[in-house]
Order: sequence, then structure tokens, then C-alpha cells
Amino acid sequence: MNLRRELTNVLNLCFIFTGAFMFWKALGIVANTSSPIVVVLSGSMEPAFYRGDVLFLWNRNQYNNVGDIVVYEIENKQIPIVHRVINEYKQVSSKNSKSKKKDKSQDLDTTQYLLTKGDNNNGHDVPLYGHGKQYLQKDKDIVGTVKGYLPQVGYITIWISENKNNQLIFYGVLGLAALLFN
Amino acid sequence: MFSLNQRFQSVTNTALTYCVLLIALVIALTQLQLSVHNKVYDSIPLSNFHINNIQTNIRSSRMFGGSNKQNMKLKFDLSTDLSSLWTWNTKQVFVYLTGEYQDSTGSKIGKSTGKVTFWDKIITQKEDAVLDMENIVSKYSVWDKNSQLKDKIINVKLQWNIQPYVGPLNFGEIVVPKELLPNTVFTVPDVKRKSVKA
Repeated sequence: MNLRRELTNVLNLCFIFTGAFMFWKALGIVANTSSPIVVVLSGSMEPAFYRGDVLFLWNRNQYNNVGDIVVYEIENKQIPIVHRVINEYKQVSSKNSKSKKKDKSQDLDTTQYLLTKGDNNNGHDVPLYGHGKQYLQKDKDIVGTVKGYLPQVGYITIWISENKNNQLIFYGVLGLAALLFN
Repeated sequence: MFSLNQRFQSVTNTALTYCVLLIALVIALTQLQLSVHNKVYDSIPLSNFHINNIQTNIRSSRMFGGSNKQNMKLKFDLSTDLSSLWTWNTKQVFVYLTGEYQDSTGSKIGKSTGKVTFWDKIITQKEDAVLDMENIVSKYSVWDKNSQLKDKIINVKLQWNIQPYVGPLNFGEIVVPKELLPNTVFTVPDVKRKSVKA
């Protein structure tokens, strides 16, 4: 047992984690979203997406089109949902800001409201939106639009996060491997 | 020095590298094929489209736009051939019929636009890609968020989304030939009041 070597291994493990975290955050900045890569958790978009599929998101678009597959997150509900936009309504209103600009077009604000539905569900998502909410707002509720797709690769995260024993096994094996080998 | 650990590491490293390269190759090939075939994809014609009936009624439910909303359904004929959208990397095609409209009010503030889906279909096999439908009732009851639908001029489009086995999602729309153009634009009628029987 060589203490110096063990400590170096721990440091290397930390590098791996921080590296992965930095990559994730950098991707988030590029795509302007809080979670640039998501794993599908439900079967509501089958047969397009199955549980465990990995989706890449982009959120630098100002508006969404009908037909886009979006990931949205309702306030006070933790789980993000992947569904398709079926209706889209844009509304122009005057901005709330009190600054008196001469250029009137600057004072106009367009808000986009969306209605979504899972391809595999019978009805639209209004019952999922929660009390009193009938539409999603593009700028508030949308996490990102799905641009790319990898099948099944994310199943390991479901396997780990949905079972406490699996979680322990995973971290245990990871820690042991880093400390014992190398 | 040989050890089991080193062998394991080098094997997983190589496997991971080749996987990433393979995925990149597949994505590049799909995009290349798409750009080469772009002219084909962008020129799939609508061979028939006709709206036979427009059903409107007033609904008052959160599921149908809120209180006193004019809802609408269409009855239509539609035929087109989507089989050229199938390549080796096409898992499914999602085809959807949309209606786009603008608010006719002149002032900028309060002006609104909308786009709704009347009907959609998931096609998972190339053999099912020839659509030939008569007198289909649209799947979804549609409404406008800001006002009523009546008198709005609606522009109908048939659009598609290719879902790949791996890689980027692709979108496009079916071309409407000149002679069918008048069939794809219509004005929403007012709700027919039911005659009250004495």
C-alpha cells in the first residue's frame, strides 16, 4: 500500500467527475438549456422514443414549430416530459417596462403558447399541466427542443437511479476500481 | 507490463472510440444522403386533397380551450406517396396535417397567429407509406387560444418528421400542386345554431 499512489488515484477519480460535469455544463451553455442531454423515462412517445433512449436538446430557437418534439418542465414538478407540440399560438402584447422608448416596435413582446401531446397518448397534455394551466409558455416552461437521438444508451442511468441497491453497487464498483487498480 | 486491468482498459477504450466514430459516421452519412436527396424530399407532391365538411360547435371545457370556445373538426380526402422518405436510417415517419392562420385585426398590439394540428399518423413501414384516404374525420378538435375561430382564413399543410434509428431528426413538408392550392385554404364558418323545438 502506497499512500501517495492511492491519493493520486482519488484525485484522478475527481478529475473524471469534474471533467464530465464541465462537459455537461459547457454543452448546456452552447445549447442554452439546463439539461442538454436527457434520458427518456416513459413510453408516451413510442415508437419514436423508448425508455432509455438519449436525446440531445437545443434551446436557442425563439419559437417552436408545430411538430417539434420538446422537453418541458412544469413548476413544482420535478420530472421533465418529452412530448410533441400539436398547437402553437403567438400573441403580441405591449411590454410591461415603463421606459418610454420612441421606437414602438421595441415595446412589443410576442409570447408563444404551446399545446403538447405524446404520440402514444390518446389525449393532449392539459391534464398534466396542473391546476389552471392550459398552455405551456415557450420562454418559461420549455427546457429544449429535441435535435438528435441515440437509442438505449441511457438505460444504465435508469437502472442506477431507480434502484437503491444498483446505486450502491455502481458507486462501490467505481470506487473500488479506482482505488485498487492503476 | 501485462495485467488484466490494463487489458480491460485498452479493450473498453478501443470499443468506446469505435462506437463514437461509428455514430459520427452514421450521422454524417444520413445528413449527406438527406442533402443529396433533398430535391426528392422537398418535392413529394400532394396527389389529392379535398375538405368535404367542416364541423364546428361550441365547447366549454378545459380540454377544449376553455369556456365557450368554437371547436372545429374537418372531414377530408387525402392522398400522397411518402415512400421516398424511407432510407436505411428511417425508423418512422410522423406525418401531420396542420392549419395556419392569422388574426385579421389591423393593430399590432393584440395581434395573434396560430397553428393547429388536425390529424396525424405514425408510419413505421415503407409499405404503409402510400396514403389514400377518403372522408377521414380529423383526429383533434381544434380551437383558437385568443378568440373564436370563425371567419379565420386557414391554410392547410401536410408536414412530415423523419425519426431516425440514430442521429438527427428531420422535418419537411409536402408540396401542394397549383390545381390543389384552392382546396387547402378555407374560411371557418360560424357555428350553426340548433333549432329549438317547441
